Amino acid sequence: MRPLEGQVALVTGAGGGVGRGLALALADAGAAVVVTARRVTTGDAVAAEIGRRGGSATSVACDVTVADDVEAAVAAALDVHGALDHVVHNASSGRSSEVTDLATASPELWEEHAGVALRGLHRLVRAAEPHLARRPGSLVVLTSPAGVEGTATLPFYATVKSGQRGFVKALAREWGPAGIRVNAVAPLAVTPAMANAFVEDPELEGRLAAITPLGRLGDAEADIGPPTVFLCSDAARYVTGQTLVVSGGRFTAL
Amino acid sequence: MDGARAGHGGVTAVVGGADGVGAALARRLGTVAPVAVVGCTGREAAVAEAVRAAGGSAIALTADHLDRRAVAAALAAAADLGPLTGVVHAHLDPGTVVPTPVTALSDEAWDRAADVPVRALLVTIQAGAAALSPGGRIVVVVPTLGITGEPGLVAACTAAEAQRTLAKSAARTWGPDGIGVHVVAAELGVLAGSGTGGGLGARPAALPPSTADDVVDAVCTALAHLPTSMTGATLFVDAGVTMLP
Repeated sequence: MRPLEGQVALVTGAGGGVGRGLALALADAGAAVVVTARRVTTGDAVAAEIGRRGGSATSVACDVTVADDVEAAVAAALDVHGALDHVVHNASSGRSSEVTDLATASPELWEEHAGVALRGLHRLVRAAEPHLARRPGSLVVLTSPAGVEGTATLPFYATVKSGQRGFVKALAREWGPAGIRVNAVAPLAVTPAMANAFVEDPELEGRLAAITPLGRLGDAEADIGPPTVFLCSDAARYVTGQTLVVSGGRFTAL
Repeated sequence: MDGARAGHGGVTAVVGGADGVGAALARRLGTVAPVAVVGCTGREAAVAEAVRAAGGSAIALTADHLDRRAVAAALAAAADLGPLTGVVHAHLDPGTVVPTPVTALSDEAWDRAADVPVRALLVTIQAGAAALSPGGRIVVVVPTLGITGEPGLVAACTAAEAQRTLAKSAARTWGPDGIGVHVVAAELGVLAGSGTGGGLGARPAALPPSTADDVVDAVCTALAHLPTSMTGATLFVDAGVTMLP
């Protein structure tokens, strides 16, 4: 029996990149997946891909900065699949990979990051909690090694990713008595933004691979998906409040 | 020791210096060097007056901690007193650390506890880095609760960890300019005004509960006595509860 057979997982930011890989991996593990994305066409494509593989998925347009969208996505899980066992918050600002000078970074840019990564997370948790408590389920937040180390080039991205780690640790303790587990995954994986950067700088991938002990960058589905499935699964029933760094050994300072 | 370092003849600005640990820090710093007490609660003038009454040198500067121009103007005014060698951010809204289930937090309560503290630190860091003399230091005081997580305080934990990494990013940004950035993580009881550590969320400690004086000692150390090759560090003033590397 697959580890998430009969369970329902909602993934935010699942229209592409890491979120798509997670949705595919969760579906392969047996979960029915609610694929949420700001652009419904991208979510539809991922849901269709899951369907072609024999899985079950529903696509819902969801901008996590819009409270009604978040509530509608949670409602879709219940309406279509009858339950909600796991929420995987992967969505991040469309400007996440925008190189930023902290000296001049604007409050508006901060809001773009915080609105999706943090306020959106709060809204998700608020909407999902009554349902997660039923069986009970789990929350997985996609954070980043940058949230541990800080960065001069993506300071707001690092800041919200660190904030998510504080969120995870506190909520794990808050929800522990209800049996709901809360964890984070900090991946190093090829994202669409990174793939674009590789086009601009063809040697970049090689440079990044060279400083990664396992010699390559992670694949969203094959490398980041299974650890995320593990955290959702019963195999991780005694794991909560943790950040699992999935980076090919690139980040070891946690 | 570099003569331009904080506490060694330069001016130190304390954002959030009108209250709590910030005020205690301003009073201590004022005994050895000029201090600018930056606040927006109306109590900054009283703190500066207390420093002067004790024979120290202090000015009070009123600035909304979310107003970038106002904080920049205040720090520029502080720099008029002499080389600005230290900027401390020590601001905690006690209303944000009242235990509340995360699902019971309204959007407004979330923003007050999780977002405003980060935006305030951003203002201080940007204005501070622009106003500091070479070799200067920024020290950020945060509660330790974000490191271990505290039930009922999800939003405050989110802010505290976000602030810590914003400080690390600032350390990486301004390190090449010789500006160091450190974090002092203190027990919530000290920062929220109960006077000592322990209490809410307390875990086994190796030492008696910490006090505001302990936090002030750590901030002064971070301002003036850490090696110049150190930056982005977190000093834990928690009576040995955390013992993180």
